[in-house]
Amino acid sequence: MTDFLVYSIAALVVGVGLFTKGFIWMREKKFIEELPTSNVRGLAMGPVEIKGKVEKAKLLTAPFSGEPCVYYKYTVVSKESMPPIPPIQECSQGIDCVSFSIRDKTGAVLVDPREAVIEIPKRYRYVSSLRRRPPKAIAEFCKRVGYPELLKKKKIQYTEWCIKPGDLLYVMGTAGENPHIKDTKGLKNTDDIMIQKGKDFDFFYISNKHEPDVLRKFKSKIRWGIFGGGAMIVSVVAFWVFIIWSWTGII
Amino acid sequence: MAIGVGIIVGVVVLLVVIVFVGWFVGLYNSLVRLKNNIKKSWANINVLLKQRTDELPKLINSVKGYMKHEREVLLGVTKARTAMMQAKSKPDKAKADNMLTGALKTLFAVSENYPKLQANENFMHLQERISGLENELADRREFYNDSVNTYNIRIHQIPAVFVARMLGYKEEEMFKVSEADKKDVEVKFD
Repeated sequence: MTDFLVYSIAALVVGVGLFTKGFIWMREKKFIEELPTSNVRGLAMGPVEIKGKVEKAKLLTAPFSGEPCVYYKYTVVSKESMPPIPPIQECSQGIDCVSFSIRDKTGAVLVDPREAVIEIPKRYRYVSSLRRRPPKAIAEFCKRVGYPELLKKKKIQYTEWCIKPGDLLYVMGTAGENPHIKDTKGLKNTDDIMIQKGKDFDFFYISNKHEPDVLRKFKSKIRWGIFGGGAMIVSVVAFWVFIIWSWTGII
Repeated sequence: MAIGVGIIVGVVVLLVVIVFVGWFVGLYNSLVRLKNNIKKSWANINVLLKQRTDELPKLINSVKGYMKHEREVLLGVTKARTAMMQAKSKPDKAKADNMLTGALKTLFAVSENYPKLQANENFMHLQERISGLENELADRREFYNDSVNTYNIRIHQIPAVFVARMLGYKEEEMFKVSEADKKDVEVKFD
């Protein structure tokens, strides 16, 4: 019975969280819908929405694919139906990024992707198996993070997301003064303007999708949030009502 | 059991009320944001219009000595600058902006007949600066018109139209010049 109570409280918390999140997503969808896309040349300070191609910048190397990139995120997950082994827990995910330029037909502007919600498709996935040797980049990664024993495990899933030069991106954030102007010497068309997470307008979003597809995705999230969360709340309340009725005959 | 059903119905009604109130508040805030986007984008255009207007005396001074016989062209720029400074409403500013853009295009076209002027560094810098401002203005005009379009569509859509009427929100004008006014820009050469 205690388990049912704990699960029902957890379901209620999740339901309320989802319901609230649905309204937050609705607010974010409205930001995207209401703000027209700017050309880089005519950018004004404050909330902006631009789209363009990623230009070459100081590049990182993606850990699994070895591709040059300006942003990467990786996860290492055990697909075995057992509790996660310690190395998995400790090297399970990582993110790194550098400032890069976005160029459209009118010019280029710097973007600092830290603190952005970034939605891009996964570029690389590898699931280890005892029958084949892992790729060189995966083997080097495991040694670099100090867990070469991972290479001897099977069904370890290595997934990587990255943004490469030449990728077409949609960015919504705040155009403000570049606080890192000394660090960005050498980048083409670097200016004193940078798109970043703002203090007053904290929505900062980067995607490789076009705006209509981004809005469609938000619509779907809103439906899940509000109706899914609402349904969970009503279900938990109905469950409690039923339990109390079946125990006590009251209500 | 009736009380239990009542509780469940109560929770459903509460959630529906929360969603409705949330929707109404969201719609109100959305209309406020759209209106303020228009004000902000108009202010951003004004900043560039002022910067361009401020550059014009320097431009005229730099070309006066070379283009002594192009009095009409210089007068066209001066008149358009005066019209821009006197314009108050958006249609007047759009008309004055159109006049000034036309006058500047004529000035820069005529200046090509004066190689010594073309070689003058001050003139080249001013020409580049004003051309840059023209391009930025074009982008910001486009942005302003997109903001107005988004707002005008929203206040006419159901159900926002009822809330907009209740709050007194009216259509905004775009930054554009009527076809008749565009004809005033033509400058004739003797």
